[in-house]
Amino acid sequence: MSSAATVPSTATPTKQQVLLKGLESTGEQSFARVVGANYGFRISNRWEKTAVNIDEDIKSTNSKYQNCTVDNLENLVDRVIISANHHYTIYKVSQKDAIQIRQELSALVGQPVNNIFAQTYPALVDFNSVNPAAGEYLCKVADMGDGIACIFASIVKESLPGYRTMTAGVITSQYFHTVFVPYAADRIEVRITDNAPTRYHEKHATAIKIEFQNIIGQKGVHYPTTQVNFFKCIESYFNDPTSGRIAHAILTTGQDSKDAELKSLRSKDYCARTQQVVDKKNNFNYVCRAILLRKPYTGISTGEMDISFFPHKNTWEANFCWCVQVKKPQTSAALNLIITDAIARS
Amino acid sequence: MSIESRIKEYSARLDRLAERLKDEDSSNVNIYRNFLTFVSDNPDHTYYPITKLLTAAKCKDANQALDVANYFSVGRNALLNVTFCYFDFDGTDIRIDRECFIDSLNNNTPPVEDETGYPIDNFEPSRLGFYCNLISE
Repeated sequence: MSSAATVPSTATPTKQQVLLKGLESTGEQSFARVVGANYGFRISNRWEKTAVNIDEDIKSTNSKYQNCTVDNLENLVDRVIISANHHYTIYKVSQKDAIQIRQELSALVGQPVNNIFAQTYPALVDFNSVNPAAGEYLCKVADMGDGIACIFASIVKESLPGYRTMTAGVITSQYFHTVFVPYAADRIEVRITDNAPTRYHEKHATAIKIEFQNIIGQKGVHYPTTQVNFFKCIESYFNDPTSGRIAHAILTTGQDSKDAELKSLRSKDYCARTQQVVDKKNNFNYVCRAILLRKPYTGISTGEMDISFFPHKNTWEANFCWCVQVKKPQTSAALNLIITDAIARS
Repeated sequence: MSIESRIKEYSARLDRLAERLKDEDSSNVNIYRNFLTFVSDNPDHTYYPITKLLTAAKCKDANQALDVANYFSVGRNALLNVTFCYFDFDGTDIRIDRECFIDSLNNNTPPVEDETGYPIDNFEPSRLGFYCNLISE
């Protein structure tokens, strides 16, 4: 992400302006539209127009726009930041620990956090004026209604290709990741935004979890956790036609590693389960090793949520799959169902 | 050379190795034999990732699997072709050569990517690995 989308330092922007700036820098216009529909905000087809719409929606006295408040705009922006398109690694905790974790988090909700990223949140920090060290910084602890979200900024410094031996080509970038603790389930969800380059996902997931543990365990208490292995989900979803259509699947043979990609991302009703792959040479059996499910939104909204399990082939061969990716969940409740169902099949 | 002849040749090599080691620890000979038996029973299986080497050779860890891969991949009329890789986060395999692989494994330092000559960024040791293909021609 560039440093262009930042708050100008000349005039102090209003909260609404900061929120809109932050929303725009997510690059999630179409998902903002999905979330905005819950409040009545009119997210347009370009950000400039959206800013005008939202200003009108907030000022409007029409009862149609009664939920269009600055507070709800803040909720909207948080929702987009914590759930637009993320890789989830999930840790189960005991019921007793979950209760304690929620208690400790509740005390932090709404408390000011003293760092430049928290002060600038949800807008991005201008790296022309500050030069922070790479690492993880807590931005906000928010009560989302169905759980508590700890939003972190991860700062990455990396060299442009070809500039690895020079300091001149070092680019600093900022990504928002989240640790979410639901009220109704005893687990910790580490959500890594897909905006961050893939090669940082695992590193960030580990760093964010440690940061989170430091926050809740100020007294040195670290809660024992069990990481969920989604390996079994892949076959389970592949064989279960009620779980959504398969927009993309990779099948493979264990004997000779011949992959078959079944895929159509352009047809709205394609499902890989309608295709059969046959090995004509040895009659080897094909099994599914990666899967992208699409589930339609409910109600009047059109659109689909993406749920995918794409472990590296080498990881899959070892019977592991450590994360699930979810794109554009219709609601927080729908997202919760997806995660709960995946854990049940794991 | 056919797979059958390669297997036969390795079998003879193993007999000689066993003979030489008869008064010493011969556990390696056993896992080599296990692997050879698996290959002759399943000549159509042409792909051996680490997990499959573990079951085929009945070995107990990745180091032993590497040992099997090495034994069957060096010398004349080898049975396996080993590909050393960094299994990158985005699902791709980054090729590294044997020497860089061994270096990285021993010293826990980032291996050099063969394509670019640069050390791997964001190196995660658990993503270092290899797989083998049966040589069939």
